Amino acid sequence: MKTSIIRMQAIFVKDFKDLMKNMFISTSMLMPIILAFLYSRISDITIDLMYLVINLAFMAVAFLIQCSIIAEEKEKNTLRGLMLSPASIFEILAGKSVLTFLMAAITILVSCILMDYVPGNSLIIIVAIVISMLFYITLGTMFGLITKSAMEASVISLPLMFIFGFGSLFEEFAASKNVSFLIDYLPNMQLVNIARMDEAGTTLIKTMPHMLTITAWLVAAVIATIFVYKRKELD
Amino acid sequence: MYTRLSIYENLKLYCDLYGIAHNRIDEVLDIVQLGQEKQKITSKLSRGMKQRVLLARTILHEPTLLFLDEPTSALDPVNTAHVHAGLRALTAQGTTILLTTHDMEEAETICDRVAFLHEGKIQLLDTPKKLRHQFTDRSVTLTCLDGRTLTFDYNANQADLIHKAMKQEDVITIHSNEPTLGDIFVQVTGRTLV
Repeated sequence: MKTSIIRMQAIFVKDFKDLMKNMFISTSMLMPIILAFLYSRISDITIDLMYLVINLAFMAVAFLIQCSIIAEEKEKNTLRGLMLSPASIFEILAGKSVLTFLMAAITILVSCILMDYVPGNSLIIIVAIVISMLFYITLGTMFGLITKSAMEASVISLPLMFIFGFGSLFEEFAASKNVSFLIDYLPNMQLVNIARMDEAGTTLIKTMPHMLTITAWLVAAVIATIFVYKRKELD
Repeated sequence: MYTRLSIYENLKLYCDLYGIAHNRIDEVLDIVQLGQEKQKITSKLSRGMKQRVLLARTILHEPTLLFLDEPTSALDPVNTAHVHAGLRALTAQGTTILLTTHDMEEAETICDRVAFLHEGKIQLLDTPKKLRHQFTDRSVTLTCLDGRTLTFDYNANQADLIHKAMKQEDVITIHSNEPTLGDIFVQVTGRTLV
């Protein structure tokens, strides 16, 4: 069966209407925006603080929403209906991922506007953010497959929120324990490194090692998600 | 069912997934008699109405064969009647329905053929009417105005007795004693209905 844009769009529209009536989603989106607003009051806001908000948006929106909408479908047995319809698993997940992507992109854009963040080279930052976003959405998909309910999804997201959302806060702590190399290789820290280089006026080529590290995280997440899907199936 | 969405929005999703025109939604809602409620949010529906929405979703793409597992379990008589009416409308359109139920009254009311399953094997398979005729004890019970009941076998020998009773007693009801499907199930399987 051919992949159908209409079926993906149907799932996208359904999820959009469903999420608009879901308080959990609006609070998830508001969290980084409120933080961005509070940081915008600081006169000399650093790039690290700005990316703390952006990384939080990745976790609270891209990861958590994707994870929750898949887990909720399993919890309410609605995924079974979708799986029995002509929609393929790719169409179902793509429809959900596009919506999550847009919501996370809007959250990050609003946060950046509030914090008056203007990248030195927009191309570098957009590429880095898009790759990061795909990684967090894939991670959300994987945990959505693992968890059985929206509640379980929010519980499991807490430790991940600390690692991937607030990783930069642990930078000094990790350095003092000589484990900073572990923190450095996290995708959120790679993004912060790219942003720091961009602020200092770098080129796209020079950021490649960091870009490739985030891409490696994305590839690993895709492989892990396929593995989890094959082991657990969706329903 | 997506509980934050309306009945219409739930069915519209499946129309789009199956590539069905949206006017089919009104048709299936008429079958399950929910046409007036289509804008209601499904979380606010009664259990019976939710069951009917699920039935509407199931028949949206006009399946030729439909498997239903206890479609009226825990429904009140009004909602049960609505669901039965919907199922009859479907069979009239040519859909074959394979329905599993513990409710023998339901089986008798809406099924064209009934199969009794016991220990993984079909013990009996026929129309409800033929099954009841097959297991009848060929007797008739007359109920008199004073509450007394008189039971006779209906054969040539008893015909006169029935006639006599009809003439002498103040008979208010006459019933042939065919067993219910439940009785037949118990007789065939040696078990009670769960």
